Amino acid sequence: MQSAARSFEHTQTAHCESGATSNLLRHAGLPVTEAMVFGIGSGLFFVHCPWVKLMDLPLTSYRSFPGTIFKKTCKRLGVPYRYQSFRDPLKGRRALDELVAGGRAVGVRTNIFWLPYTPERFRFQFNGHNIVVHGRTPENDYVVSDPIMDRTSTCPERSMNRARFAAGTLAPHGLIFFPDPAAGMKPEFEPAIRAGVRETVGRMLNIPFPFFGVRGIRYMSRRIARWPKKLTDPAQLSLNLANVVRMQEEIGTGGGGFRYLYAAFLQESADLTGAPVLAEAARRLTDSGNLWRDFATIAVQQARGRADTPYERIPALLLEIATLEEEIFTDLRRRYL
Amino acid sequence: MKVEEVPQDRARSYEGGSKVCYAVDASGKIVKTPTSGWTVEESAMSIAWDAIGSTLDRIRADVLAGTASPLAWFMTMRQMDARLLAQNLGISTLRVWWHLRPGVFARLSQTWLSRYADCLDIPVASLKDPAAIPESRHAECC
Repeated sequence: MQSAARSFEHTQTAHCESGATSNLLRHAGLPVTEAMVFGIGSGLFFVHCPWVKLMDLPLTSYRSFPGTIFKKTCKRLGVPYRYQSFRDPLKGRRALDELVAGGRAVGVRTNIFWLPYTPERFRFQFNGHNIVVHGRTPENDYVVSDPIMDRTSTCPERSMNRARFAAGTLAPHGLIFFPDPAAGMKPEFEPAIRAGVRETVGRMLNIPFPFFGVRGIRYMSRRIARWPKKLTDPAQLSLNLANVVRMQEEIGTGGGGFRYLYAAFLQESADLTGAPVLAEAARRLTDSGNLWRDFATIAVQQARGRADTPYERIPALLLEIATLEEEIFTDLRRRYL
Repeated sequence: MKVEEVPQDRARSYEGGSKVCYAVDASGKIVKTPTSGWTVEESAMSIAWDAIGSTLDRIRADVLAGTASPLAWFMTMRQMDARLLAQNLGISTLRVWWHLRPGVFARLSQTWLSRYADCLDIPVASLKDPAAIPESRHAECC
C-alpha cells in the first residue's frame, strides 16, 4: 500500500488509457512512460469495419479494444492489479468512494459526454474514456486527473455517476482499476516489451480477415476509392472522410493515429534492450506517421471541397502506408521476435 | 514530424487548452510535445459538429411544425438515438420509438416525462415546451 498522504502527480498524455495507466503506475512507485505502457499493452492496431456503425459511420480505429491496455501492461510486468465493474451502481459508487477516502488513486472508466470539465467539443457518447480519481474537494466534488487535460480537474458527484454508469456500446458499468505493486518491486521490462511487440506484430500481419491490421489499411483504401461512386450525397462523403480523420487525430492519439506514440515506445525499448532493430523500426514508423498526417490533410481538403490534389491520391497514399507498415512489422518479426 | 513542425493552430475547440502529441527533437529522440491544435483536425471536427447542428435544426423545424416531439430534439442534442436512450433508461427501444411520436408524446404521464428529463439531464418543463428549443446548437439550452 502506498501512503495516503502522497499527492497524485498529474501528467498530461496523448492517450487516455495508456496515460491513466502510466500515471497510476508512477504513483504506485513504478516509473514508466505513457509510450512504454502503450507498447507493452499492445495499443497499436488498425481496424476498418464498415458494417459496425458508430453514429451511422463505419468504424475505423487505430488502436486496440478499449480496456485492454491496462490489464495487459500489468500482466506482462507482473504487477498485481484490481479491475472490477459493478452490476449495482450503488455498490460501484461506494467502492470508489471508499478507495478514494482511503487515499487511493483509482482509474475509472467513463463516458466522456458527461464530464463537465472537458471542452464542449470533445464530448461525445464514447464509453471508453479513462481517468484517474484521487481525492475530494471540500465541496465533495471528485478531484480528477484526466490524462488528456493539461491540468487537474474536478467533477461533481452527479456527473461522475452518470459518466460511470452510462449505457450503450462499451458500457463502463462503473469500472474501477488500479495497479497494486509490492513496495520496491522491480519488474522485468525486456520480456514484457517482447510480449507486447509480438502481439502487435501478430495483429498487424496475421489476422486472416481483410478488416484488421495491414490488410485493414488496404481494405479501407479500396473502400475509400469507391466512396465517391457509392456516397452520392457529397455531405455523406465528407462526413465519412472527416470521421476517419477524427479517429486518427482527434481522439487522443498523439498524432498520426498512434504511430508516433508507438514509435516512441520502440525507441525507448531500443535504448533499454540495446536492440538496434527496434530503433530502426521506430524511425520508419515515424515516417508512417508522417504519411498518415499527409493522408489526413488531403482527406480533409477533399471533405471540405477544396482539394489541390486529385481524389485518387487518398487511396494511393493508404496503399503506400500499408506497404510501409507491412515492411516494418515483417522486419520486427524476422529480426526481433 | 519534428518538434518544430508540431502544429500550434490555436484550435477553438481546445478552449485555450492544449493536448499532447509525439514528435522528433533535434537529437532524433521522440518526445512529448504540447500542441494547441491542428487546422486539419479542427476541420474534421467541425464537419462532424456541423452535421449534428443541421440535424438539430431540421428536428427543431419539425417540432415547431408538430411533426416531431421535443423529446426527439433533446435526445439528439445529447447525441443519442432511440436505442441508446432506451439502453440508458433500461427500457425497450420500441417503447422509446413509440414515445417519440408527437401525438403519443403529448399524452405521456408525468412519470415518463421526468424519467426522460432525468436521463437527458434537462428540466422536465423544457421537455414539454417547444419554445425551450434554441435555434442554434451553440446556445446553452438548460
